Amino acid sequence: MRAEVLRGHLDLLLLATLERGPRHGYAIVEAIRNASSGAFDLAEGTVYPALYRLEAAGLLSSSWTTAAGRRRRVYQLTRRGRTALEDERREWVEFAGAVQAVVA
Amino acid sequence: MIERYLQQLALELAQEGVRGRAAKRVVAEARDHLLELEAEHGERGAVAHLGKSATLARAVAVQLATTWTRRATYGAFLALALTGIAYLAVFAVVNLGGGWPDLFGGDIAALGVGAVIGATLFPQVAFVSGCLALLRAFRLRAGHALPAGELRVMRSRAAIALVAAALTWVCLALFAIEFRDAPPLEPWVPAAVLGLCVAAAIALACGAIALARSARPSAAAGPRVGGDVFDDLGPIFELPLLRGLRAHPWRFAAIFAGAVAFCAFAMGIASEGDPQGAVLQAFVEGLAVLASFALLGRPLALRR
Repeated sequence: MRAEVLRGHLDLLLLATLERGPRHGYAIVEAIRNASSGAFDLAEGTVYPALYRLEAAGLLSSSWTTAAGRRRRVYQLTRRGRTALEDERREWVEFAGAVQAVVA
Repeated sequence: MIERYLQQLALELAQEGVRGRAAKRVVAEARDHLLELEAEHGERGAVAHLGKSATLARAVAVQLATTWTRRATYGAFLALALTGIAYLAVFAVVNLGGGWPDLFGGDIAALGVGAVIGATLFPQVAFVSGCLALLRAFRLRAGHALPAGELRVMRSRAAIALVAAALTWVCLALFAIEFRDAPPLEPWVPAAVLGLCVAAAIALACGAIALARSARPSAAAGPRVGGDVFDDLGPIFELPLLRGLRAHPWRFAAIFAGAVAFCAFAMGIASEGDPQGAVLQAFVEGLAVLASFALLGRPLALRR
Protein backbone atom coordinates (compact mmCIF):
# COMPACT_ATOMS: atom_id res chain seq x y z
CA MET A 1 0.00 0.00 0.00
CA ARG A 2 1.32 3.46 -0.87
CA ALA A 3 2.99 5.28 2.05
CA GLU A 4 0.96 8.48 1.58
CA VAL A 5 -2.32 6.54 1.80
CA LEU A 6 -1.15 4.98 5.04
CA ARG A 7 0.14 8.26 6.49
CA GLY A 8 -3.32 9.81 6.54
CA HIS A 9 -4.57 7.03 8.81
CA LEU A 10 -1.49 6.50 10.94
CA ASP A 11 -3.00 8.05 14.09
CA LEU A 12 -6.04 5.76 13.92
CA LEU A 13 -3.83 2.71 13.38
CA LEU A 14 -1.58 3.60 16.32
CA LEU A 15 -4.45 4.35 18.69
CA ALA A 16 -6.31 1.17 17.69
CA THR A 17 -3.16 -0.92 18.19
CA LEU A 18 -2.57 0.50 21.65
CA GLU A 19 -6.19 -0.13 22.61
CA ARG A 20 -5.19 -3.80 22.97
CA GLY A 21 -2.59 -2.95 25.59
CA PRO A 22 0.67 -1.03 26.21
CA ARG A 23 3.44 -1.62 23.66
CA HIS A 24 6.83 -0.24 22.69
CA GLY A 25 7.60 1.16 19.22
CA TYR A 26 8.80 -2.05 17.61
CA ALA A 27 5.87 -4.06 19.00
CA ILE A 28 3.43 -1.45 17.65
CA VAL A 29 4.90 -1.74 14.13
CA GLU A 30 4.79 -5.54 14.35
CA ALA A 31 1.19 -5.52 15.59
CA ILE A 32 0.07 -3.31 12.70
CA ARG A 33 1.92 -5.45 10.17
CA ASN A 34 0.49 -8.70 11.57
CA ALA A 35 -3.07 -7.40 11.94
CA SER A 36 -3.04 -6.22 8.32
CA SER A 37 -1.42 -9.47 7.11
CA GLY A 38 1.55 -7.47 5.90
CA ALA A 39 -0.47 -4.94 3.89
CA PHE A 40 0.60 -2.09 6.20
CA ASP A 41 4.37 -2.33 6.09
CA LEU A 42 5.26 0.99 7.73
CA ALA A 43 8.47 2.88 7.18
CA GLU A 44 9.36 2.19 10.79
CA GLY A 45 11.07 5.51 11.51
CA THR A 46 7.82 7.37 10.81
CA VAL A 47 6.13 5.79 13.81
CA TYR A 48 8.16 7.63 16.45
CA PRO A 49 7.37 11.24 15.46
CA ALA A 50 3.69 10.24 15.31
CA LEU A 51 3.92 8.67 18.77
CA TYR A 52 5.56 11.86 20.15
CA ARG A 53 2.80 13.97 18.62
CA LEU A 54 0.03 11.81 20.04
CA GLU A 55 1.71 11.87 23.43
CA ALA A 56 2.05 15.66 23.31
CA ALA A 57 -1.66 15.85 22.47
CA GLY A 58 -2.42 13.84 25.60
CA LEU A 59 -3.77 10.83 23.69
CA LEU A 60 -0.91 8.55 24.81
CA SER A 61 1.29 8.30 27.84
CA SER A 62 4.65 6.58 27.99
CA SER A 63 7.20 5.37 30.49
CA TRP A 64 10.61 3.69 30.52
CA THR A 65 10.87 0.03 31.37
CA THR A 66 13.78 -2.39 31.16
CA ALA A 67 13.53 -5.55 29.07
CA ALA A 68 16.44 -7.94 28.40
CA GLY A 69 18.79 -5.36 29.90
CA ARG A 70 17.64 -2.66 27.46
CA ARG A 71 15.79 0.56 28.20
CA ARG A 72 12.49 0.55 26.41
CA ARG A 73 9.78 3.22 26.10
CA VAL A 74 6.31 1.73 26.43
CA TYR A 75 3.24 3.62 25.21
CA GLN A 76 -0.33 3.30 26.36
CA LEU A 77 -3.66 4.89 25.58
CA THR A 78 -4.94 7.59 27.93
CA ARG A 79 -8.61 8.22 28.64
CA ARG A 80 -8.52 11.10 26.13
CA GLY A 81 -6.90 8.77 23.64
CA ARG A 82 -9.68 6.24 24.08
CA THR A 83 -12.29 8.92 23.38
CA ALA A 84 -10.33 10.15 20.34
CA LEU A 85 -10.09 6.58 19.07
CA GLU A 86 -13.85 6.11 19.36
CA ASP A 87 -14.43 9.34 17.40
CA GLU A 88 -11.87 8.46 14.72
CA ARG A 89 -13.20 4.94 14.42
CA ARG A 90 -16.76 6.20 13.94
CA GLU A 91 -15.58 8.67 11.28
CA TRP A 92 -13.62 5.95 9.53
CA VAL A 93 -16.59 3.55 9.44
CA GLU A 94 -18.79 6.29 7.94
CA PHE A 95 -16.10 7.26 5.44
CA ALA A 96 -15.30 3.67 4.43
CA GLY A 97 -19.02 2.89 4.05
CA ALA A 98 -19.54 5.93 1.82
CA VAL A 99 -16.50 5.09 -0.35
CA GLN A 100 -17.65 1.49 -0.62
CA ALA A 101 -21.12 2.62 -1.71
CA VAL A 102 -19.64 4.75 -4.49
CA VAL A 103 -16.88 2.42 -5.61
CA ALA A 104 -18.61 -0.96 -5.42
CA MET B 1 26.78 -0.69 12.02
CA ILE B 2 23.99 -0.06 14.51
CA GLU B 3 26.29 1.99 16.74
CA ARG B 4 27.42 4.04 13.71
CA TYR B 5 23.78 4.64 12.76
CA LEU B 6 22.97 5.79 16.30
CA GLN B 7 25.96 8.14 16.38
CA GLN B 8 24.89 9.57 13.05
CA LEU B 9 21.32 9.93 14.33
CA ALA B 10 22.55 11.82 17.44
CA LEU B 11 24.61 14.11 15.21
CA GLU B 12 21.74 14.78 12.84
CA LEU B 13 19.33 15.41 15.69
CA ALA B 14 21.78 18.01 17.05
CA GLN B 15 22.01 19.61 13.59
CA GLU B 16 18.22 19.78 13.48
CA GLY B 17 18.20 21.50 16.90
CA VAL B 18 17.06 18.51 18.96
CA ARG B 19 19.41 18.17 21.93
CA GLY B 20 19.47 17.05 25.55
CA ARG B 21 16.77 14.79 26.96
CA ALA B 22 14.66 14.81 23.79
CA ALA B 23 17.60 13.62 21.65
CA LYS B 24 18.61 10.96 24.20
CA ARG B 25 15.09 9.59 24.15
CA VAL B 26 14.99 9.31 20.34
CA VAL B 27 18.38 7.59 20.25
CA ALA B 28 17.41 5.17 23.06
CA GLU B 29 14.18 4.23 21.29
CA ALA B 30 16.00 3.81 17.97
CA ARG B 31 18.60 1.58 19.68
CA ASP B 32 15.88 -0.65 21.15
CA HIS B 33 14.08 -0.80 17.82
CA LEU B 34 17.25 -1.67 15.87
CA LEU B 35 18.27 -4.40 18.31
CA GLU B 36 14.79 -5.96 17.99
CA LEU B 37 15.07 -5.82 14.19
CA GLU B 38 18.62 -7.17 14.21
CA ALA B 39 17.52 -10.59 15.49
CA GLU B 40 15.35 -11.05 12.42
CA HIS B 41 17.08 -9.05 9.69
CA GLY B 42 20.71 -8.67 10.73
CA GLU B 43 22.40 -5.29 11.31
CA ARG B 44 22.17 -4.07 7.72
CA GLY B 45 18.52 -5.12 7.39
CA ALA B 46 17.67 -3.49 10.74
CA VAL B 47 19.11 -0.15 9.65
CA ALA B 48 17.32 -0.38 6.30
CA HIS B 49 13.99 -1.06 8.03
CA LEU B 50 14.21 1.93 10.35
CA GLY B 51 15.04 4.24 7.46
CA LYS B 52 17.64 6.98 6.96
CA SER B 53 18.81 8.61 10.17
CA ALA B 54 18.56 12.05 8.52
CA THR B 55 14.89 11.45 7.65
CA LEU B 56 14.09 10.33 11.19
CA ALA B 57 15.96 13.28 12.74
CA ARG B 58 14.17 15.73 10.43
CA ALA B 59 10.73 14.25 11.16
CA VAL B 60 11.33 14.40 14.92
CA ALA B 61 12.57 18.01 14.70
CA VAL B 62 9.56 19.13 12.64
CA GLN B 63 7.25 17.46 15.12
CA LEU B 64 8.93 18.98 18.18
CA ALA B 65 9.14 22.46 16.62
CA THR B 66 5.37 22.53 16.25
CA THR B 67 4.55 20.95 19.60
CA TRP B 68 7.03 23.02 21.61
CA THR B 69 6.16 26.34 19.93
CA ARG B 70 2.44 25.84 20.45
CA ARG B 71 2.99 24.78 24.07
CA ALA B 72 5.41 27.68 24.71
CA THR B 73 2.84 30.11 23.30
CA TYR B 74 0.16 28.80 25.67
CA GLY B 75 2.77 28.94 28.46
CA ALA B 76 3.66 32.53 27.63
CA PHE B 77 -0.01 33.48 27.74
CA LEU B 78 -0.37 31.78 31.13
CA ALA B 79 2.66 33.74 32.40
CA LEU B 80 1.05 36.94 31.08
CA ALA B 81 -2.23 36.09 32.79
CA LEU B 82 -0.44 35.52 36.10
CA THR B 83 1.45 38.80 35.80
CA GLY B 84 -1.85 40.46 34.86
CA ILE B 85 -3.24 39.36 38.22
CA ALA B 86 -0.07 40.67 39.92
CA TYR B 87 -0.54 43.96 38.01
CA LEU B 88 -4.05 44.34 39.44
CA ALA B 89 -2.61 43.47 42.85
CA VAL B 90 -0.25 46.47 42.53
CA PHE B 91 -3.29 48.75 42.19
CA ALA B 92 -4.90 47.10 45.22
CA VAL B 93 -1.68 47.46 47.24
CA VAL B 94 -1.28 51.16 46.35
CA ASN B 95 -4.92 51.92 47.14
CA LEU B 96 -4.69 50.04 50.44
CA GLY B 97 -1.40 51.70 51.27
CA GLY B 98 -2.53 55.32 51.17
CA GLY B 99 -3.33 55.92 47.47
CA TRP B 100 -1.45 57.30 44.46
CA PRO B 101 1.22 59.93 45.07
CA ASP B 102 1.65 63.11 43.06
CA LEU B 103 3.25 61.94 39.81
CA PHE B 104 5.74 64.82 39.90
CA GLY B 105 6.53 64.24 43.55
CA GLY B 106 9.32 61.66 43.16
CA ASP B 107 13.06 62.23 43.43
CA ILE B 108 13.44 62.68 39.67
CA ALA B 109 10.16 63.94 38.21
CA ALA B 110 10.80 62.71 34.64
CA LEU B 111 11.61 59.22 35.87
CA GLY B 112 8.40 58.99 37.89
CA VAL B 113 6.22 60.24 35.04
CA GLY B 114 8.00 57.95 32.56
CA ALA B 115 7.51 54.96 34.86
CA VAL B 116 3.78 55.65 35.18
CA ILE B 117 3.34 56.15 31.41
CA GLY B 118 5.31 52.96 30.71
CA ALA B 119 3.29 51.03 33.27
CA THR B 120 0.14 52.18 31.46
CA LEU B 121 1.17 51.62 27.83
CA PHE B 122 3.34 48.47 27.96
CA PRO B 123 0.59 46.28 29.48
CA GLN B 124 -1.61 47.15 26.50
CA VAL B 125 1.10 46.02 24.06
CA ALA B 126 1.59 42.85 26.14
CA PHE B 127 -2.13 42.14 26.19
CA VAL B 128 -2.67 42.64 22.45
CA SER B 129 0.49 40.69 21.48
CA GLY B 130 -0.35 37.88 23.89
CA CYS B 131 -3.90 37.61 22.55
CA LEU B 132 -2.60 37.58 18.96
CA ALA B 133 -0.11 34.80 19.84
CA LEU B 134 -2.85 32.79 21.53
CA LEU B 135 -5.17 33.35 18.59
CA ARG B 136 -2.57 32.02 16.14
CA ALA B 137 -1.79 28.97 18.34
CA PHE B 138 -5.50 28.23 18.71
CA ARG B 139 -6.24 28.68 15.02
CA LEU B 140 -3.46 26.26 14.09
CA ARG B 141 -4.07 23.88 16.99
CA ALA B 142 -4.77 20.90 14.70
CA GLY B 143 -1.64 21.34 12.53
CA HIS B 144 0.85 18.49 12.89
CA ALA B 145 3.89 19.98 11.19
CA LEU B 146 3.45 23.74 10.89
CA PRO B 147 5.77 25.62 8.51
CA ALA B 148 8.58 27.72 9.90
CA GLY B 149 6.88 31.00 8.90
CA GLU B 150 3.78 30.31 11.00
CA LEU B 151 5.82 29.19 14.01
CA ARG B 152 7.99 32.30 13.71
CA VAL B 153 4.91 34.53 13.88
CA MET B 154 3.64 32.66 16.95
CA ARG B 155 6.99 32.99 18.74
CA SER B 156 7.48 36.59 17.67
CA ARG B 157 4.07 37.62 19.04
CA ALA B 158 4.64 35.74 22.30
CA ALA B 159 8.16 37.21 22.65
CA ILE B 160 6.91 40.79 22.11
CA ALA B 161 4.19 40.16 24.70
CA LEU B 162 6.74 38.89 27.23
CA VAL B 163 9.14 41.79 26.58
CA ALA B 164 6.32 44.34 26.92
CA ALA B 165 5.22 42.68 30.16
CA ALA B 166 8.82 42.72 31.44
CA LEU B 167 9.08 46.45 30.61
CA THR B 168 5.82 47.00 32.51
CA TRP B 169 7.41 45.48 35.60
CA VAL B 170 10.61 47.48 35.14
CA CYS B 171 8.42 50.60 35.14
CA LEU B 172 6.57 49.41 38.25
CA ALA B 173 9.87 48.70 40.00
CA LEU B 174 11.05 52.23 39.07
CA PHE B 175 7.75 53.57 40.40
CA ALA B 176 8.30 51.74 43.72
CA ILE B 177 11.85 53.09 44.04
CA GLU B 178 11.04 56.60 42.84
CA PHE B 179 8.06 57.09 45.16
CA ARG B 180 9.36 55.12 48.16
CA ASP B 181 9.23 58.18 50.44
CA ALA B 182 6.43 60.05 48.66
CA PRO B 183 3.25 60.73 50.64
CA PRO B 184 0.57 59.45 50.97
CA LEU B 185 2.18 56.04 50.31
CA GLU B 186 2.77 54.03 53.45
CA PRO B 187 6.36 52.75 53.89
CA TRP B 188 5.48 49.06 53.26
CA VAL B 189 3.96 49.74 49.81
CA PRO B 190 7.24 50.00 47.76
CA ALA B 191 8.49 46.72 49.28
CA ALA B 192 5.20 44.99 48.44
CA VAL B 193 5.31 46.31 44.84
CA LEU B 194 8.93 45.15 44.47
CA GLY B 195 7.90 41.72 45.79
CA LEU B 196 5.22 41.53 43.10
CA CYS B 197 7.87 42.59 40.54
CA VAL B 198 10.06 39.64 41.54
CA ALA B 199 7.13 37.20 41.33
CA ALA B 200 6.19 38.54 37.88
CA ALA B 201 9.82 38.35 36.72
CA ILE B 202 9.95 34.65 37.67
CA ALA B 203 6.74 33.88 35.74
CA LEU B 204 7.95 35.82 32.68
CA ALA B 205 11.39 34.18 32.79
CA CYS B 206 9.75 30.72 32.76
CA GLY B 207 7.70 31.75 29.72
CA ALA B 208 10.78 33.19 27.97
CA ILE B 209 12.90 30.06 28.58
CA ALA B 210 10.20 27.78 27.12
CA LEU B 211 9.85 30.10 24.14
CA ALA B 212 13.61 30.17 23.47
CA ARG B 213 13.74 26.36 23.70
CA SER B 214 10.90 26.02 21.21
CA ALA B 215 12.90 27.93 18.58
CA ARG B 216 15.70 25.34 18.49
CA PRO B 217 14.24 22.44 16.41
CA SER B 218 14.06 22.99 12.66
CA ALA B 219 10.49 23.47 11.50
CA ALA B 220 8.87 22.14 8.34
CA ALA B 221 9.72 23.89 5.12
CA GLY B 222 7.03 26.18 3.76
CA PRO B 223 6.36 29.82 3.01
CA ARG B 224 8.94 32.03 4.75
CA VAL B 225 6.25 34.49 5.82
CA GLY B 226 3.34 33.29 7.95
CA GLY B 227 -0.23 34.54 7.60
CA ASP B 228 -1.24 37.94 8.98
CA VAL B 229 -3.94 39.11 11.37
CA PHE B 230 -6.46 39.02 8.51
CA ASP B 231 -5.91 35.26 8.30
CA ASP B 232 -6.33 34.93 12.06
CA LEU B 233 -9.61 36.83 12.06
CA GLY B 234 -10.71 35.48 8.69
CA PRO B 235 -14.51 35.35 9.10
CA ILE B 236 -14.65 38.90 10.54
CA PHE B 237 -12.91 40.33 7.49
CA GLU B 238 -15.39 38.58 5.22
CA LEU B 239 -18.15 40.93 6.46
CA PRO B 240 -19.19 43.43 3.74
CA LEU B 241 -18.02 46.55 5.62
CA LEU B 242 -14.64 45.09 6.55
CA ARG B 243 -13.84 43.14 3.40
CA GLY B 244 -11.77 45.91 1.82
CA LEU B 245 -9.50 46.36 4.85
CA ARG B 246 -7.32 43.39 3.98
CA ALA B 247 -5.78 45.30 1.10
CA HIS B 248 -5.37 48.42 3.26
CA PRO B 249 -3.86 47.46 6.64
CA TRP B 250 -3.17 51.10 7.56
CA ARG B 251 -6.86 51.87 7.12
CA PHE B 252 -7.55 49.02 9.52
CA ALA B 253 -5.00 50.49 11.96
CA ALA B 254 -6.64 53.93 11.75
CA ILE B 255 -10.11 52.48 12.46
CA PHE B 256 -8.75 50.48 15.38
CA ALA B 257 -6.89 53.52 16.76
CA GLY B 258 -10.11 55.54 16.46
CA ALA B 259 -12.06 52.91 18.38
CA VAL B 260 -9.43 52.77 21.13
CA ALA B 261 -9.35 56.57 21.32
CA PHE B 262 -13.16 56.69 21.62
CA CYS B 263 -13.09 54.09 24.44
CA ALA B 264 -10.34 56.03 26.22
CA PHE B 265 -12.38 59.25 25.87
CA ALA B 266 -15.55 57.57 27.22
CA MET B 267 -13.64 56.06 30.15
CA GLY B 268 -11.95 59.39 30.88
CA ILE B 269 -15.32 61.18 30.99
CA ALA B 270 -16.88 58.43 33.13
CA SER B 271 -14.06 58.32 35.68
CA GLU B 272 -12.80 61.93 35.84
CA GLY B 273 -15.63 63.96 34.29
CA ASP B 274 -13.00 66.21 32.71
CA PRO B 275 -13.49 66.58 28.91
CA GLN B 276 -10.06 68.19 28.37
CA GLY B 277 -8.26 65.39 30.17
CA ALA B 278 -10.37 62.77 28.36
CA VAL B 279 -9.47 64.25 24.95
CA LEU B 280 -5.77 64.21 25.85
CA GLN B 281 -6.05 60.60 27.03
CA ALA B 282 -7.88 59.60 23.82
CA PHE B 283 -5.26 61.35 21.70
CA VAL B 284 -2.36 59.61 23.49
CA GLU B 285 -4.04 56.18 23.29
CA GLY B 286 -4.88 56.56 19.58
CA LEU B 287 -1.38 57.76 18.80
CA ALA B 288 0.10 54.85 20.78
CA VAL B 289 -1.92 52.38 18.69
CA LEU B 290 -0.67 53.92 15.43
CA ALA B 291 2.92 54.06 16.71
CA SER B 292 2.71 50.42 17.80
CA PHE B 293 1.31 49.45 14.40
CA ALA B 294 4.20 51.22 12.67
CA LEU B 295 6.82 49.73 14.98
CA LEU B 296 5.45 46.25 15.62
CA GLY B 297 3.14 45.74 12.65
CA ARG B 298 5.44 43.33 10.83
CA PRO B 299 6.82 41.32 13.79
CA LEU B 300 3.27 40.92 15.08
CA ALA B 301 2.10 39.99 11.57
CA LEU B 302 -0.52 42.74 11.62
CA ARG B 303 0.60 43.46 8.07
CA ARG B 304 2.84 41.67 5.62
